[in-house]
Amino acid sequence: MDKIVVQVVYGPQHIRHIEEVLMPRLAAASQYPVVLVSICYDGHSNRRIQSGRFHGVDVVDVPNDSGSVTGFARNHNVLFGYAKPKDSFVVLNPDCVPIPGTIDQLLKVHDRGGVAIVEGRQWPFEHPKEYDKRGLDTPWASGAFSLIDSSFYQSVGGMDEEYFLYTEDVDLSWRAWLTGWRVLYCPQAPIIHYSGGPFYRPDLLSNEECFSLRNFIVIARKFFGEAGQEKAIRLLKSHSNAEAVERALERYLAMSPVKEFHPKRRHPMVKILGVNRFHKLRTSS
Amino acid sequence: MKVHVVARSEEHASLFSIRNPSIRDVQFHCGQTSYFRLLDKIIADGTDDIVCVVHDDVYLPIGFDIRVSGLVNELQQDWPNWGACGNSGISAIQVGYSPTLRVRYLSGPLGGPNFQGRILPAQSVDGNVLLINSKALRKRAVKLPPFEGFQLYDLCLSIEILCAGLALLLAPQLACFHDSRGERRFFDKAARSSKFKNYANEKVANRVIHTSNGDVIVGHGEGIDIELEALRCAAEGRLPKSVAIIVRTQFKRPNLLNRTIMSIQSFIAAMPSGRERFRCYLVTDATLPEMANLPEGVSVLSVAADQKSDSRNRLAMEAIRTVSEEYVWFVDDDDWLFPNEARRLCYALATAPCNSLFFLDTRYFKEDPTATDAGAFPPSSVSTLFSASCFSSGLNGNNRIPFCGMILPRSVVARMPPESEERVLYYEDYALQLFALLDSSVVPIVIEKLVAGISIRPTGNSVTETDRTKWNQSSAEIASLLCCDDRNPTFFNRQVSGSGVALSRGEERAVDWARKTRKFGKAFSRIFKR
Repeated sequence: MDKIVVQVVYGPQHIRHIEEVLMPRLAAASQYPVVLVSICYDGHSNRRIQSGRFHGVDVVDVPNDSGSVTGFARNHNVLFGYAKPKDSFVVLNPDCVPIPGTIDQLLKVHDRGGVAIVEGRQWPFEHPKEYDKRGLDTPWASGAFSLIDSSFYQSVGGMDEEYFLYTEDVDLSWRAWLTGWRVLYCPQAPIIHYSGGPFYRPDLLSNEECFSLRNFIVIARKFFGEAGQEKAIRLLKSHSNAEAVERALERYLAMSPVKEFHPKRRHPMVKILGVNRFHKLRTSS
Repeated sequence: MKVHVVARSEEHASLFSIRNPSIRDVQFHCGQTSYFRLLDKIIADGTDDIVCVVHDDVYLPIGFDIRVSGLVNELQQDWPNWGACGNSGISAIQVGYSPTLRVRYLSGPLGGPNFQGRILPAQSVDGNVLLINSKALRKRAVKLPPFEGFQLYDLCLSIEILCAGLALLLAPQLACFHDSRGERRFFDKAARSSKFKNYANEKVANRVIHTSNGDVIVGHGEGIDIELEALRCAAEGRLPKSVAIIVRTQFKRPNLLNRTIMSIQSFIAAMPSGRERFRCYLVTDATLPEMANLPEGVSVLSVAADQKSDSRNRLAMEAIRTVSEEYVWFVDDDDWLFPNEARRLCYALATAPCNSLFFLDTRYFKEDPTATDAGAFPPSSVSTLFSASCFSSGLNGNNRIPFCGMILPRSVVARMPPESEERVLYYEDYALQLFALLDSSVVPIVIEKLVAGISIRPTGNSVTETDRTKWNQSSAEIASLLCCDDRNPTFFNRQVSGSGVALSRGEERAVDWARKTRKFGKAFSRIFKR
């Protein structure tokens, strides 16, 4: 491997953090030279990360010429198409801070072979989802910090842009399992990630709640057909935020019909256990 | 300044004149059917840059016009983005010993004032007395919705002003007696109307809007976040406050220290413009190791070592005396900050009264460094939350606020008697908190947002020490200095109740106590000199 590509999709509000906190620590995250390719999701904004070489990292910011706000999947697909990483690449949230050696830990696990995605461990709010302590298999890997195999990504056509925001990482993981790849979790690869549920406000409808409720129906339909869609809608009816559910349903119905992904195929890792619950919860770390 | 009086009838207008003989320049608006249209008309009338609009059932104090004149000068100078000012409403920051958003600088059948002396940023203001910056509103084309009647006009005005990017404020200079109980059923009917909900959903993202008459549930909308926008607008044009984030360290845990510094950098990077007013300091009495990679913007304060005693209090006091920032914020060298609410905190600092004492939510995280070879980032599990709103139990001897959960006014805590450094070895944070709280100039501000994580490990935390000697000795010192003031023997005899009733009495007594604090400070000093 001659370099490791790290893809970051950011908003104007993240620029300072990326330039002052994330970038200075990125080089130490791997023994290999790091290339940061980035894109601003806000196509209206003229504020961008500067391209160049900073803190030992080559930074290439790809322009967003769409003139609109573009989704997570679309942006990462654009970055992948631009960077064309040979073996694998890392997706990283803009509000994360890399830890020394953490990317190399992901690479070590990836090198086992047959691995589509390896997720790192978020700190201090670690995701409580299940993973096999020996084999490291996990139902899905978070797009906040994961290493993705380039040939896998190419073979499945990248992330599904229909989701716009949230759930595309679950979708990608499921397509990995259903096409013979593995998705693993690497607790030895920590990443600082300050965002998450503890900071959501109950008086506001967060993007996460808004999109993930809609996308819950999308993913159920895509992988489990009409029966999956009906079950998802039934489950949503008992959700605590009835207003958010109503909006989610309206938005789902306004979408173009969802293209199914071999709904007859099954895999024990591809499962829905509740509203936006695609995993069992670990009882202890 | 002309006072516009919205009178229900000519008779009510006459009564106003009789009750308020000192208000000479008055224009009466009688027989109106829509307060919304009237306000639009008053604002749009280009004659006056600033207008005062009042209800016909207010009693204004003698000298009101002089106070308002002084207020206008203060607003123009210190709150350059002001749009309107009221005497009661919903503050944008929780204030007081019994922290509340509902601020009353007025009396009436429903109660009296609950705060004193400071202009505060607001989310909404009540309409009984309004001071409006008509010029600014005209410039931003502020216009009320075309509703009829006399309900919710003040809430709509508040929303329109915030949507226009102007500030709402609460000012004591507008204090009055408002002889009205309000008509709750009319308010509720208007608040539940689909007309108002549709309007609110277009303008406001919040599901709930707080008002003096209670919370109005409007459902999720597409507009501004009232909470943050109120703070941002009020902060605009004001000088940001400076804060020294101080980390006491002896470099015994360099990995954790690096983690702390990284989080502080993230916090500062998340600030809006003016972030250069936050600075990170390491204060130490240890020999500096090779810290070649000390990030830019981190300063080191070296203090002479003293082998005789625990240095944690001494380091804190040395830092307080050495830095020049207006506020100090202590973060332990194994804890960290969350940047998520940095913006809110910055705006709150800029808009809170001088010498505010900020209380913030913090949380324990249980870390197990033996679980994996994870260095400074072991798996952690979320544990106890320390809510900022519980600070007042500290006045009853129960400290609920960790050191990183408060931002202290430096000029106040710098007056802490130097003798306390040797006598209070642990609980130095509690001592500083109490010293600040009992200063008459200090205003407690509560921000119930998580800003700091506290590492709790099987070993290495003083809070988990099994030998409690130092804790208990320090407690004795603090108990002695607080209890031995003969002038207020019953202050700590109250039990804090969850209902808030005792807290209300506590608030009165705390304010009374605080007024005598100069005497307390002298007693404090005397005790340590014995």
